[in-house]
Amino acid sequence: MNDMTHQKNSIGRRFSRVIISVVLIIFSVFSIVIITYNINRIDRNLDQRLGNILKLSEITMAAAVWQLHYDYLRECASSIFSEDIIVYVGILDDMNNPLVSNVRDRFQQKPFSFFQKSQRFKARESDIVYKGEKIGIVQIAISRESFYKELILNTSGAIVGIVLLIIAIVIATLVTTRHHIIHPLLKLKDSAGLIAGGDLDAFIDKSHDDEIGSLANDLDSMRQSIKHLFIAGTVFKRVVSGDVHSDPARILKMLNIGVKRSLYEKETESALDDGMDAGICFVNTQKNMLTFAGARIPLICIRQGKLEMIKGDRQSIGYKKVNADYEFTNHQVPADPGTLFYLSSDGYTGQPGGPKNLSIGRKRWHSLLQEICSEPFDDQKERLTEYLNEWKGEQSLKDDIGVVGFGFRQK
Amino acid sequence: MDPLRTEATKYTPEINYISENNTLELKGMSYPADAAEFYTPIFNWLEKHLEHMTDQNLSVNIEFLYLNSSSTKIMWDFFELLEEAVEKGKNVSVNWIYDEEDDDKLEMGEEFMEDFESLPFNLLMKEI
Repeated sequence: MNDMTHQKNSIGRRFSRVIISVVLIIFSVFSIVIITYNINRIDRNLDQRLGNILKLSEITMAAAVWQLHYDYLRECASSIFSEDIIVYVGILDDMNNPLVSNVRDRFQQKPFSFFQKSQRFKARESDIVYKGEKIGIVQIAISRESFYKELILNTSGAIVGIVLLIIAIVIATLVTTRHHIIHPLLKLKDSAGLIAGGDLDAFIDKSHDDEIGSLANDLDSMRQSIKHLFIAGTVFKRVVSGDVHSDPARILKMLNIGVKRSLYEKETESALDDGMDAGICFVNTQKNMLTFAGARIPLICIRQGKLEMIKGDRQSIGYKKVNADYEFTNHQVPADPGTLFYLSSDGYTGQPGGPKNLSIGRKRWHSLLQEICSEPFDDQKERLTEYLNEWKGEQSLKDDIGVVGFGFRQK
Repeated sequence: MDPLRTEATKYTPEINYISENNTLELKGMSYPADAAEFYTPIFNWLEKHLEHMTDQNLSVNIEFLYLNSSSTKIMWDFFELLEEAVEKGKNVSVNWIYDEEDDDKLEMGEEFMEDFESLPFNLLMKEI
């Protein structure tokens, strides 16, 4: 037997795959939104700061540029430069001749145009105006690097978090599916395998109160039904192989005793109470006589279109309440050629449906038989199925149905 | 007395106790997956109710459309409980209500009526 966990498409794996995909998709969309939002926000922030510094510089430097007060300008430049994110400060006169320029050491005297071109920086320049006349230019470049670093740090933190989350989800799903689904399913599968192999007493774990539990309950009912069917079949074979085969009432009695003995003698489960209805006919073809005995099953005979019902005993077989000593009754019925006989379980007459959701019932059953009895048996079977399906409509089939019809040809 | 009310489902009947006229009603389909499990609370309720009942009359109105075989078996136990109460001097009567076209339920009712001789059992054709 294959272990289900070794199958390529284990429930646990499918489950984790789906969850991981969903988490990844959500995470990706979420990160893209957050990162884009942050980039925009910090960019706007940097822009604003750069604008403020430029504005401040314009105002404070104007007089100094006019007077070519280099010391003051150098001081201004270095005070602006004291902020880490600023990498370039340049002051030019109106002919674009540099008056003062400060560049971070790591950029080794790169010109302002270098900072303007690179995506790593934000560079802007602004005119210095004195008494309504342009007298110079101030150029400032800000590095985006520290902000990128922060972003990468944040993002990697989130990624690590998500990876941990995914691992946690996968482990949790694997553990829960294994514990609540796969393991109980494997146990049920083993039980079903044992039943399939003929062990009709196989243990079925019904302790779960979820869907698996109800599956286990149904499997156990199935196991029990098969077992009881098997018991009934075995007992029946044994009974009819003896000398009682020509005595239907005796067959029913022996069946009753045999089934009760097999069901309750060894069984420890006190709630067990099962049984069946039965109808048995023995036909003496020499004398054209039929002997019938029924356990809650009637025999229907149709002679020249006239229907007669021979009621069986009002006693089922095998149930706890049924007395083991109960004597069933034999009925003698002439079985001339042309007479038709029908035996049916109560599944057919009991089936609800129709306009008022009522059972088919005996009257409808009898008139249906009278209507179809002149047809060949194969056609009759078809008519019965058709009628049943039409009657039940939306209703499900409520019970198992067994119908037997037979007759005798002219010798 | 405690109220008893169970709504009908696809598989189980509506069960309702009306305290004003001391009437218990069962109505609808009955083919639960586990009939014993479904009916146990109703049996528990009924036992307690019968015990506390003094001289008033309990009417049990039963109007089934369909009963599977395990529900039928349970109805047997149900009538047994009612019959025992009658034998102990309680006033109980059963009204088995069936549709005029439903000879299956009529027959079922007739059988129950025959089997529970001491239990007042009325077969009532449903009024349209």
